This record gives sequence, structure tokens and C-alpha cells, in this order.
Amino acid sequence: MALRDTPTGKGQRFSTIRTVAWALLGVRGHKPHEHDVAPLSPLQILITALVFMLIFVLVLVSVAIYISRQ
Amino acid sequence: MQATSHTGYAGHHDHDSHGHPTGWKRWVTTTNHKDIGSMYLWFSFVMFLVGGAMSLIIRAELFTPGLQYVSPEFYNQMLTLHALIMVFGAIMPAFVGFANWMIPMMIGASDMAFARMNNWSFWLLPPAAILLTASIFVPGGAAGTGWTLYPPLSIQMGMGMDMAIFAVHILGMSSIMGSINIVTTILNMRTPGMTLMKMPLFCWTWLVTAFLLIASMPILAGAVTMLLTDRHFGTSFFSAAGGGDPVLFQHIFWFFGHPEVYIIALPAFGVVSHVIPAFSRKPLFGYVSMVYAIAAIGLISFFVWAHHMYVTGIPLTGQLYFMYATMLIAVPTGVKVFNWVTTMWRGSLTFETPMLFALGFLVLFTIGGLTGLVLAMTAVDIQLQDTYYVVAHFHYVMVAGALFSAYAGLYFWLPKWTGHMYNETLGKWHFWLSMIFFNIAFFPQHFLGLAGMPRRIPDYAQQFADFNVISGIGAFGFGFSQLLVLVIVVQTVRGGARAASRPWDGAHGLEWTVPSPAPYHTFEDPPHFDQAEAHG
Repeated sequence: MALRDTPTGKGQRFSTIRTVAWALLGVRGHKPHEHDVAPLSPLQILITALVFMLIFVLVLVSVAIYISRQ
Repeated sequence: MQATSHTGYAGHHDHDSHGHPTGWKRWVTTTNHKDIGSMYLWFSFVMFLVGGAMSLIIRAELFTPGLQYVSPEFYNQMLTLHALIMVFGAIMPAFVGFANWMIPMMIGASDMAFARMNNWSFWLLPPAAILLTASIFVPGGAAGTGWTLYPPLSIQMGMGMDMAIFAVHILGMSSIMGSINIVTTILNMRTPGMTLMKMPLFCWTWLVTAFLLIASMPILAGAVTMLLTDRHFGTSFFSAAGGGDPVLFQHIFWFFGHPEVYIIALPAFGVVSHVIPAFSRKPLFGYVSMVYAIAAIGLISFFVWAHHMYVTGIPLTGQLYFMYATMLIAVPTGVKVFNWVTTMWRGSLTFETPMLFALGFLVLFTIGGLTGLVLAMTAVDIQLQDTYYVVAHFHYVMVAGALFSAYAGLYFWLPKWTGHMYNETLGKWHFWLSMIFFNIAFFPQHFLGLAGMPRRIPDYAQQFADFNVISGIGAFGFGFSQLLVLVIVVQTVRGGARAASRPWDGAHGLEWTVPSPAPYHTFEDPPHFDQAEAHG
């Protein structure tokens, strides 16, 4: 991977989010994975995953509350 | 593919040459990951036979309606001990045994990171096993609550319950120490060049499993400690009479209990992810997505616990949330199943015993997963809660999932451990007998559950008699077929055709670059990691 392709700052945050989002589905192509994951630290991914999990649970709870009030 | 350097084990010494004890002292004092792995595996097999014998007492009692052989109290003790022994004494130690044997060899490490703690992790198991099994003989007998140990029943039981609580404490300590060891080994001791995303998938599954264990075992320990103080020290955590709530125990228990399901399943996924590519002679399809799916399953497993509790009066909103979350966990699990199938697609397949067990796993685990989805639906689960449908579901996941995968791993790695090939004919007999009798034993239990037969009851109405006879025949057939493993393993340990260092031509990984049997010390110097041996 050429150095100029390495995401930094905002781009890095976006690639962390993209990586974790694909992980929740459980599917990812090899090339985009290589592109996104290379510059990321496991800690970044872990923290993003926990935030994702929180959002995931809150969305499901909101849907459940919405439906149960119908 | 064969380019990996062999220098890693070249410097090994005979273990007797530097003053290691021999005889029984070797096994008591050993810090060698291979010795400890073997002890875990033998221990789990002994406990498998003990737990299996208990299940045959259960099936003998259920062979016909009415009470025949055992009292209802003893029946309850048998089903409780059967479950506790199979989960904590057989399946979990079996996979820790695989981890001990294979993880250092797969990542090119000389041993586990904390070799003495590894010895201690193992030697905590026999006292726990003795506590559990000996509790049958104390006044009041063993715990008869079912493996979930729900209060108020567990507060009323005799001292057998205390023994079960202490056994759970000890087993939990062992698991946590084992997990810390595995995490440290995997994160710090991989050979240079083996990045996390080039690591064998079995190591990935164990890495996630170890984190699940570290996170969930203390919760179980907390739950049973509160149970203990409720029983003896006047607290009322779970006693409504003192202002407590028995349902609180169920929440705490299942917050541990559901990740526990994945603690058992993930290493099984890891084993199958090695066996299927080897006998398909193709690399694993979608390695990256497999890693993603493992991580996602591990994370989501902590957020679905109350699907075990739909009938406890949790609010409708809670029921809906847990239903959605549970159904969504099927997505990453489905990804794994599709990846295994796609790995076989246009592969050069052969069907040796490890592959047969892996395929048995694939078919039956998918059935177990599907019935899990059925049970995830609240409206359906309210009908099926505490029926034999649930028993059928989790035996498809636990036996056909975890046990079949453990057998796949056993036959796959036995040549590496012993230096001999096992008897293929007997292995195939073992597979087919297991496959046929397992389905005879457990498939009719779906029908029994749908017809409304409750679980954990020693007697039943006449209308359930026929399917129980079929299930009983299957269970005895399955139970006795398992003795074949003992014959095959003892035969293989004692002799047989010499195994090459890579007895399966499609197998990849550092473990296949060392001779068979694997020398007592491997990879004292980190081996060269060749890209061709990478899984990613």
C-alpha cells in the first residue's frame, strides 16, 4: 500500500467505523480490509466496537419501545 | 508450502537430560504445555464418561412412563450433575487441552506464557470434579436444581449444593487463569512475521473465547457467592421473604450463561476452520470475515442473555429487544457456516474421519442454530419454554456442535501428538455410529417438546412413550459408541503406522513443520514464518 493512501485523522476515524460496521455483519472483502486496517491500532477498533455495541443496543431498545407502545 | 525453516525445534533436548522428574511426578509437576494439554484431554474424557453414565441413568428412567429405577430426587441430581460435568468438566477442559497442545505450536512459541500457572490451572480441576461427584454421597445428595442453580430451590438444598458452589468457584478460577495464559501467549509470543491477521483461526477463536471467559466467569462466581451467603450468612439477595428477588439470580446467571454458550462454541468453530480447508485442499474461504464474525459473536453474546427468561415476567419491551438482538446474532454465525461451505466448493475433497466429524458438525450445528432461532421468538418460546424442544436444541449445539468438533480435532491432531496414524476404519465406525445414534436420540426430542413434554421431570404421560423409547435406544447406542474413542486413542498411543510430519497433505501451519510425534520442546527459537503457512 502506498504511503499516500494511508488514512489519517478524519479518514482514520472513518476507516475504523467502516471496519467495525463490517465486522458486525461478519463479512469483508480482503482488499478494502487491508486498506482500512493496516494503520489502525487494536485499541481504536476495540473502543469503536464498544461504542457501536452501545448504539446497536440503544437502537434495538428504541425500536422495541416504539413497537410495544403501538 | 514446505519452505518453512525447521530450525525452531532443531535445538531441542531430550527432556530427561535436564533433570525433569519422571513417573507420576512428571505429571504432577510438569510445566510443559504438551503434558498439560494431554492431562486436560484425559481429564475431560474421564469426566465425559462420568457425565455420560449419568445421562444413561436419566434415559433408563425415561425409557417407559412411571418411576422405575431412581427416585425423583436422585433423578434431579443426575440431570444437574450431568449438565455441570459435561459443560465444566468435559467440553471446556477438552478445548483448553487443544489450546494447550496446539496454540504454542501454531504460533511458534516455546510454551505457554505462564507455564507454572498452567500447571495450577489444570490441577484445580480434579478437586472440583471430586467435589461435584462426591456430593452424591453427602446427606441430602447432590444439587438437584438443574445446572442453572436457580433459587429458591438452590437455597433450600442440602450441603451438596455448597459443594457444587465451591466446585464452580474452583472451576472458574481455573478457567480465568487458563484464559489469562492464552491471551498473554497469543498476544506476546507469536513468531516474528505472524501478525494477528495471519494467525491460525483456532488461535483467533481462543483469543476471543479467553476474553469472554475473563469477563463472564467472575459474574458466575459472584452469583454463586451471593447464593452461598443467602444460604448460610443471613443475606437475602435472592430471597423474596427478606426483600430480595429470585429473578435477579436468573439475570446474573444468564449474563454469564449466554457467553458461556459461545465459550464452548467458538473453539469448536476454530477446530472446524482448520479441518475443512485441510480436507478440501483449499485455503479457508473468507479468513478476514471469519475473524470479524468471531469478534462480533463474542461481543453480541453479552447482550442477549434474557432470551432464556421470556417467561419470568420481563416487560414486553424487554422481550422484544432480546428477541431482535438474539435473531441478529444469527447473522455472523450464518456467515461462518456459509464460509465453511464455500471453502469446500470445488475443493478436492476426501472424507477421512476428521472431515466426517467436521461435516457432521456443520450439518447438525446448523440444525441446532435453526431451532435456536425458533426459540428466540418470544411468542414461540413461551410455548416451548422448559419442554424437550429446548433439550433437543441445546444438545444439537453442544453435542453435535462442540463434541463432534472436538472429535474432528482429536483425529486431526492425534498423529501429531502420538506419531502414529489412528485406525481409519474404526474412526469411520465411530463417526457413523455417533452420527446415527445421536440423531435417533435427540431428533425425536423436538417432537416431544412440540407435543408439550416438560423437561427435568422423571415421569411423563403415556402419549410421550413411543418417542422416549426411540430416544432411549439412541442414547444408549450413542453412549456405548463413545467407548470406541478410548480403544482408538489407546491403540494409536501404543503403536500403528508412523505418521509423517504433515500427515494431511492439505494441512497448513507451523504445527505441521515439526516432526510427529511433536518433540517435548518445540520452537525454543522462534521459527521462520513463511507466507505459505499463513491462513490469511
